[in-house]
Amino acid sequence: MKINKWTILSAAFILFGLAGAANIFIHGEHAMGTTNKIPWGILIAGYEYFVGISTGLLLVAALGYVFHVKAIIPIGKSLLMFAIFSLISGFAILLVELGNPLNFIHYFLTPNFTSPIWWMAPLYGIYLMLLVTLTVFVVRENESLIRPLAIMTAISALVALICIGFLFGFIIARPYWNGPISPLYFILTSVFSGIAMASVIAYLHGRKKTRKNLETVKFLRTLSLSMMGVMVVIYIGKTFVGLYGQVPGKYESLLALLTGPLSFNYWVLEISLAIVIPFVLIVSAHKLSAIKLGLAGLLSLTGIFFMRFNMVIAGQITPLKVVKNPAEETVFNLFSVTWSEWALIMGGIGIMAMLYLQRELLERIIKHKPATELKRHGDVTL
Amino acid sequence: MAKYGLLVFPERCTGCNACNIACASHNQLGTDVSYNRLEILETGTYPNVKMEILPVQCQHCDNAPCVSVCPTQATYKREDGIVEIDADKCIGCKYCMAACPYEARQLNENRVPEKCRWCPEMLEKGEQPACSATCMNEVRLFGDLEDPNSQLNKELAKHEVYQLLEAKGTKPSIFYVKK
Repeated sequence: MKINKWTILSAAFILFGLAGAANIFIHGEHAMGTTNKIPWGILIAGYEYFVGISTGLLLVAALGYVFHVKAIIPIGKSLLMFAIFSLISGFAILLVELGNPLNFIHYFLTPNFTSPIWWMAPLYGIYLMLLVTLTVFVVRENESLIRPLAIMTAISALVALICIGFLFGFIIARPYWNGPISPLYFILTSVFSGIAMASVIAYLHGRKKTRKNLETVKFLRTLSLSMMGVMVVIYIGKTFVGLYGQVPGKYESLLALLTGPLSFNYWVLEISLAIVIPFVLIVSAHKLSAIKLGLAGLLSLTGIFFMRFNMVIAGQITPLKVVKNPAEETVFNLFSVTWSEWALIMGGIGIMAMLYLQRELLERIIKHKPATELKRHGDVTL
Repeated sequence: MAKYGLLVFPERCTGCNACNIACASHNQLGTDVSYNRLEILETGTYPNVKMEILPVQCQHCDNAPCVSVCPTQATYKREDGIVEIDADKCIGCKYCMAACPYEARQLNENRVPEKCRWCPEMLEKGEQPACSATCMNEVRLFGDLEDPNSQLNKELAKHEVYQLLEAKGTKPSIFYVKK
């Protein structure tokens, strides 16, 4: 096992996450910022964020393995590995968010097929299984099976994303979430997060300047800019439709984002970090380097986290007005985030980073290198 | 088999909160959990204003979103119309809380989103639920919607009634008499 400053930092993040998880397990919901009015908080946003990155990365990788985009192939293996690590982080966070994970056996004993949450387990299970298999085949360079597997994995990723979209879109109680566009929103934003993460991965690969790296950077630059354009269309659509129709519940949630208690999060941490600053950074560079693209990707990833958070909170921040006249003044529900919840998010990042740092070890295990050879390399502890 | 329903006479409610206290006492609820709440509806413009107090709780919907979204069937609809929770099956995903348009769910100490159960143990003894039984002004009339001769059905026929958030399509089992 390689140990350097990044490994230590990742381990510290994971330990901090474990401390947060322990606090939540001991003190329950009191250690979380969630309330009866805002039952889903930053941990649900974190789960969405990490699984979104995973599926997004897979879809970017599929460009290479399904559509033969050569620029993706050099970083393809890392994209797939990060997709697995990100999914693990997402599941780890969800496990703590669930109040009674020990009752999970009833998932199988008394399943409810009308629940999108029920479908998430088998769909993400299939996706993870296919993703791991695809990664093994890519690492072992088993060329003949890579493409069909990549197609199946990409389909399973899309289906899983559609399921998350339904999870929110089905909720008639929350007009901000409710609607048929929700699955498409999740697919597009996940692809955006996948491209941002791929940009960071391209930087990690591109420190040694080669022609191949340059091609990858160029391609991801085009992809990033195109996806930013798509995101702008989504934002304009959501904003204009929300303002124009003034649908009760949806309109107030939108105002909470535009001018209300979520406005700093929305304009500075979401719009600026996810789109505006990365766009300026990419466009202003005369000669785009991997580091600038990587930095733009990192900023986008930070912004996309707040995109997830804002989406989750905005759906619940508007009181349901069960009895009150919808036209009455709205007093938004209060929300907060505790240190334990932040710790879990950092823990999720730590898990991803730690697994990435140990990828060579994982690759060797996948390749079935003999133990003696592993020992000869001097960096593997068995 | 009976199918339970509730008729609420908001104009009779004084806002004494006895229903709330009886419910908390019967269900041994903590101080931060309440299955019943009184919502105040103000209408009109000063000086022509009216105020109405509406008791709000789980509506025991026929098309209950909490039942549809629960991944383990921990929340289920009984044959008698009561939406019940089996805490042993609940994984604590809180989807029911997010999905309920009536904000009826309250998370308890065990991280189970609880709510009004219409006190089935009292119904089995032929008694009214704790909230209905304690109300001094008989704001809540509990009864069998399937029995044409029940007091509930007679009163439903007499009054113009409405349900909360009818447009959501949840088909609640609680009716409110129009003022």
